[in-house]
Amino acid sequence: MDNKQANIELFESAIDRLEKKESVIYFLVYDTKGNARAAIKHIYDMALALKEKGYNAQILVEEKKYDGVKSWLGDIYDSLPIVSIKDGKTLINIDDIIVVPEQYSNILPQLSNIKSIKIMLVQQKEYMFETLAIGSRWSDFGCTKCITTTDAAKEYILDYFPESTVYLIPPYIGNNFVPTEDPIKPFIAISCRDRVQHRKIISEFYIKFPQLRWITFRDMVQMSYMEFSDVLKECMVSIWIDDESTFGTFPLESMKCDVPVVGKIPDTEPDWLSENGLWTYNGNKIVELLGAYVLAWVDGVILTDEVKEKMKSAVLPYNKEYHNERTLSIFESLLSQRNETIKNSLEKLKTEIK
Amino acid sequence: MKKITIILPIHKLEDDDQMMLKNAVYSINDFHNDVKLMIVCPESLNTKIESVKLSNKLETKILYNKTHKTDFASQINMGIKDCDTEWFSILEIDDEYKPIWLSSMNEYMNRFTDVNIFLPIVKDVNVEGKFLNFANESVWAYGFSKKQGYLDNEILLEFQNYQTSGGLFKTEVVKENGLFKDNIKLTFTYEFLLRLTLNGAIIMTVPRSGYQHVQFRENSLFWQYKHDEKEVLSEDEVKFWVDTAKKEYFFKNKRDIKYVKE
Repeated sequence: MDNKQANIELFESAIDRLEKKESVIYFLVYDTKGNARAAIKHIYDMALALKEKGYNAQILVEEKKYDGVKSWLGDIYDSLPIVSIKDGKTLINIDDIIVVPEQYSNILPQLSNIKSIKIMLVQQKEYMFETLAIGSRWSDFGCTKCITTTDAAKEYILDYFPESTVYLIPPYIGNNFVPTEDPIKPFIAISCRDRVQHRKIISEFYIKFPQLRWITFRDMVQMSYMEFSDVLKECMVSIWIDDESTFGTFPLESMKCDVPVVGKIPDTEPDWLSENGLWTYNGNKIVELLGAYVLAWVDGVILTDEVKEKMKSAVLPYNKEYHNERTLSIFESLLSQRNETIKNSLEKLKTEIK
Repeated sequence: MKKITIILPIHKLEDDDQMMLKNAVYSINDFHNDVKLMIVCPESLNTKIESVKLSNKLETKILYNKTHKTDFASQINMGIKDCDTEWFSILEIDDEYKPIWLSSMNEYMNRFTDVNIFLPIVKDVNVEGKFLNFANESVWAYGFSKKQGYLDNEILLEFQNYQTSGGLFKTEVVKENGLFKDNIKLTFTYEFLLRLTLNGAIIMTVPRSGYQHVQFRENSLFWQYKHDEKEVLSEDEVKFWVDTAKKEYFFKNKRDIKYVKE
């Protein structure tokens, strides 16, 4: 059998898989070893949205031993198959899609000969170049598509890789984030990327406001997703410091619980940022703002409906329905384009043989 | 029907006291739908008290004390005995409730139905109104008490500084477990809380600053303990009354106690 005939068979089987929704959509993820990561949840959410619509979405991991997400996300993602690169059985066809997070940019050279659809997934734009060979571009490795989470990130990506097509799929904020019906507790939820900052904020607060030493800081790490929302909703206020953040899941989760946020505006302003929290560009002002808010809260100040409305509006677009709709429409269009391309190539090949 | 009686004991009623009384009563004016006021005062003050214009909105009862025992604890006890509401609170003449008091108490009362006593966070100020410190707040500190927000007997044995004024007490629970012991100087509120927790009363602090307390106002009871030559307490006596509270709380009723200078 000559090459052309072999290619015809290859194309025909690819079309057949595409039409039967058997083409695999691989989502490459790293192992968080049981630690909760919003970025990983977002990937699983996209995969699940596709799986529930009958697509063959799979989670692709490096090692055979993978801790998974069950310990912190529960069993709702159990239906997603997990395949490992190292078991040697993973075959990526031309009709498949592989979604590669920015941390894995270094594997792009290995993927360059694979003819599947390759999509970069950028959730942390600050890490976009971290593992990419200096001076190289995604398109050098045949990757011209990208999914990101915010307009600001999209703009940034297009600034450096204008040849890319960039799609927006923001994460959604789960419905477990709801205001509590119980009285709020004198707790402050704290989320800082940098642990040094975390300690600094707590120390500064207790020193500057010794009369508030009875207020408890809740460290929002090492909790399951449900535990996290349960703790968050009972807090009076939350603190967010993450200069490298792109999307800003934590403040939105907080706002959805009606817990106001005292936060430092990250280097890239989140799309949803408005007068929906106590925001500052100056990290040194955080403790002052926090202390003023806590003292006012102890004195009985409650959030006005106007503030609650602003927080609600900020979260509104980030719901599961919109997320799933967007995920489906983007992947469906990519698969359909690929189907068309393969059909055209097949047609062309058949004409050549005749 | 009102569900809370606010007991306000008065010992004397000079011009300054009248101003303070008006101010204290004014602080509960907006609670008139839920609370009624009970002023307990010596009978000798009847003309004076009736001449003070208090509140048109508040249901007010004046209870005249016909005994010679007109100290703070005795007058509170009179008020409690006469109380016909489910809950009562204590208001000192130089103090005031903050506007958040009633709504925050209601919020907690509705949610924590097993709690018998809710203490507010008390904002201690000096006579100029300058903030000095909070009281009752420490139970919310992480790892302080067995259950965050709750005051238990073990904590009380170690720390004495809890304020009963401004607190909300379930009348029945207090009547069952005994009233203030008026023969205990300085630490009668401490003994009272120790006794209540020993007998299983559940005490919780509402983490809102619902009550403002003036510390060491001239001629106030605690000021006298510190500055009045006749009343001043020595270190030994302070220790004696703390130790006494720790012994007496096992008994529902007061027993004979006398401090004898060594």
